[in-house]
Amino acid sequence: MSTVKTHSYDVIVIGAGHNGLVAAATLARAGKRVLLLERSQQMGGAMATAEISPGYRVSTAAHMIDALPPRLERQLRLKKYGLRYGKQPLLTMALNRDGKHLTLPAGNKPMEGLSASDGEAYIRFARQREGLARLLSHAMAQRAGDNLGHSLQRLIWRAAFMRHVAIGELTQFAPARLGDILDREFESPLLKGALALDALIGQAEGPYEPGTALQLLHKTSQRQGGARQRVPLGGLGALAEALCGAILARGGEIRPGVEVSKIIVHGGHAAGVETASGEKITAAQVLSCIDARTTMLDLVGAACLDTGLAKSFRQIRHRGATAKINLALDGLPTIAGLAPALAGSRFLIVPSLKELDEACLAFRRGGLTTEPPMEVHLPSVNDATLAPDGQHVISIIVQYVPHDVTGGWNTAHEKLVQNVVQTLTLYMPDIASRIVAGEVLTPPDIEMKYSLTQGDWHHGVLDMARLLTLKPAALMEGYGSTIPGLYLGGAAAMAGGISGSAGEAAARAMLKGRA
Amino acid sequence: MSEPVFARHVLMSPLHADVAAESRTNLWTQWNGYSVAALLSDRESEYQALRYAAALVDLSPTCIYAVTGAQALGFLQRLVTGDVSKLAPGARMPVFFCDDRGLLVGAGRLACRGDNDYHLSTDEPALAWLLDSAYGFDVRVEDMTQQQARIGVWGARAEALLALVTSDDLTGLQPDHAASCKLAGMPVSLVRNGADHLAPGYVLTCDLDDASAIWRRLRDQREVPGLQAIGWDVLNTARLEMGIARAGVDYQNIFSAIHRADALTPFEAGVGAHVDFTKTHFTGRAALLPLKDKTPARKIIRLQVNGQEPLTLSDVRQGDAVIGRVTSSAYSPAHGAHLALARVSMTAGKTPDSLSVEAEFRRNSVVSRAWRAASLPGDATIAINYL
Repeated sequence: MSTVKTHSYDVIVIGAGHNGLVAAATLARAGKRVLLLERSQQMGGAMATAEISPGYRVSTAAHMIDALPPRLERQLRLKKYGLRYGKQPLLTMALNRDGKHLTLPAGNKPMEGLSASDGEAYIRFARQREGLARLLSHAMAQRAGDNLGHSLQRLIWRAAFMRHVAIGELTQFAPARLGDILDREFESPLLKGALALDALIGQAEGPYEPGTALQLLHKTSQRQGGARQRVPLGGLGALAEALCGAILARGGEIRPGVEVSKIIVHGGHAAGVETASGEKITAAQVLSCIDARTTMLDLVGAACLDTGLAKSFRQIRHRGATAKINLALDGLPTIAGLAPALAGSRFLIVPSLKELDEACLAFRRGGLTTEPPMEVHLPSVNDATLAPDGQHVISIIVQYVPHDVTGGWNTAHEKLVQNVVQTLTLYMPDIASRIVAGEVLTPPDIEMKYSLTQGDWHHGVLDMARLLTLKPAALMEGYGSTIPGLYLGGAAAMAGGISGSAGEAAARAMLKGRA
Repeated sequence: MSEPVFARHVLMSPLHADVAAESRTNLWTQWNGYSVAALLSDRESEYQALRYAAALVDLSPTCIYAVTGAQALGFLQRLVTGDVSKLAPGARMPVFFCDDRGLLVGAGRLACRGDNDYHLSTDEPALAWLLDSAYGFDVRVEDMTQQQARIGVWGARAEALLALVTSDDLTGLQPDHAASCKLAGMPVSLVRNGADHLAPGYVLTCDLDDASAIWRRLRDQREVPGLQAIGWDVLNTARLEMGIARAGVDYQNIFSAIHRADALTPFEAGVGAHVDFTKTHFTGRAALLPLKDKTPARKIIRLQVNGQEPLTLSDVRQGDAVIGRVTSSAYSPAHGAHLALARVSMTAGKTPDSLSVEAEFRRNSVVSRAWRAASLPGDATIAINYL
């Protein structure tokens, strides 16, 4: 251990996204001398609040915290460092063109506004979904290299203890097509479309692709951890600021604008990093929270890895499927049939599974659909600081937008905006006349601005293997990287939303000194 | 190569017509998808040719990969377990390569032809693994197998035979070193066999167009008594006399193995001396390091079972416990005994003794089984080699 003294830092954390910030804050709290390096000038990665027009501020990339465990917020004392929330809980609503909107309840509570048969079916469906997700929660937290036999045994035991969930149900449900399950259960096209979009937002799979039912269980399992969707006051940038505050208060060091070009491996052990400007910074350990493929193949280099391991990282596919549109509005848009108090809810916009599937088919062909499915939020309704008095900002995640669009983004850019505004007009008739400014982030823009390969939020496609055990890549073990001293804490290691979970888990593994 | 690898049916060696012309038995076998002669005339005369005169073998099915490019050396250092950096141009060395778990993917010989210019020859195809390993390196891997012909000129009089057909002086050529010469005006590169080879002699590599002419030129040297083309039956006997294990027979490469016990680490294969932990990273290093000083869990051993009659050998027993199984065996005229290689588990932690082998033999029309005492002839280390 005498060599540790010669390093300037105990740990270098690469990448200040939600995972990097949480990892650095966790390590700093544990008394480690931490250096956090971020390529861009802005901390937070996809958690960013920026001005799109003078006076109008919005969460430019991600616009909600999906799954940050409340426990983590308390541990890192984020409230002390300025994290505040707007109105809670945030409701999820499926908007309907005729004004009969549906509110998607949390957990297995009944849903209102449905037909009698749909109402009953929903209770059945929600119970099954919650039960199966609870059953799978342990398997979802598995890592590649964990004992698969043990985890399967545990799954069966859990099923035996949770009497109302049969293991047979899981083997039927999880590999199925989500669309087929919803078609079997429900009549309402709006309900089916909304449930599917809620489960698949951000992913490149269509509702009728095998295994998409597991994506629903994954989302459900995340929400069961007590982590409801929330929006911090000041946008997601406020969470980044609070995390930075937590790091700095514990003596951690943060350096923006520093791009890591290489992870130095000395004698088979990670020994620090080399920056793009040629500076060498030594540390006893390195924790990378950027995507696993880039970390291992570009920063470490295939030459330092075994052939099979390098191959398993090459096989991680990145496939972005969303665009982000942020608009400044000169007033609150009218939404027919919606109580004004609910204007700050999370809106899901898709009339039915058919539209969702067609959008995905267009996406597969590299095209844009005329009525894109969207997740829409008006953050300024509950947070007056974001826009001038009486004015608003709207944040739109457009689902099924290809990275490599046919004909190139120069021509498709305008078409995307038109499609989105025209579709929104069906729900908010006056939206077009209220737009005063806007910002469009296509998947290539998201890739460039937030260092997300292909614009993929999840650092790689969330297929079944990755959702269950083989994360971040097959042949991997634990949070280590097979290179002693190098840990992986990016979204590839534990996927899904703004959660910080992967970063925290990697930091904890590092503190315990295990892989 | 015009054919996709997985679309191969039966491949023909460029020397197939010449070898077929020698055949008086029409007995063939296959190697890497090629038809190769099992027996051309009779065992006795072919064995005599290989051991005491000169024998010609068509080695064209040997897999040859050209490795070139600015990072060829770095690529090879990461690929194989041994240290390649000291290999001088013109020399070659045995190399072994493993997967991430330290289990053998392949074995072969690496010839250095110049700066960042290597030829890797292997007994079994390895292109897919080489290409997987090439990711991240500035290196070009080319399958040369079907672009050249190879002829083994082996036996006690191989040197004398070559002296008759080429005016180049080959007497000073060191074992495991390469030279080039002209044979009836045709360019030929040749490598001299090392001591770990199944017979002294040379492997000649030539253009496809010249192969047939060179084969006939060698075959026509009537001044060398006993010169003969030979088939695989006799090569099998010869490799068992040398204790050379074959991939696909005595062990399986990790991609062919259906059970862990069929695959081997270099330590289990007895080639631990070719694993160098002091060089830069290589695939399987982390898995092999903890095994360095441990007794291997299994091993390939050489066995000798006395007796002249035909025997089929199977289980290997130490005392009363069955510890393994014979993987290949043949009768050796030189030893006057049956020689075998067997894969055994090493529970005792040392080289097993008091061994017996279950032998099947015929008495009139009755097939009987009996345990026959087996001895370990000479050193029991195994050289894993291509031919």
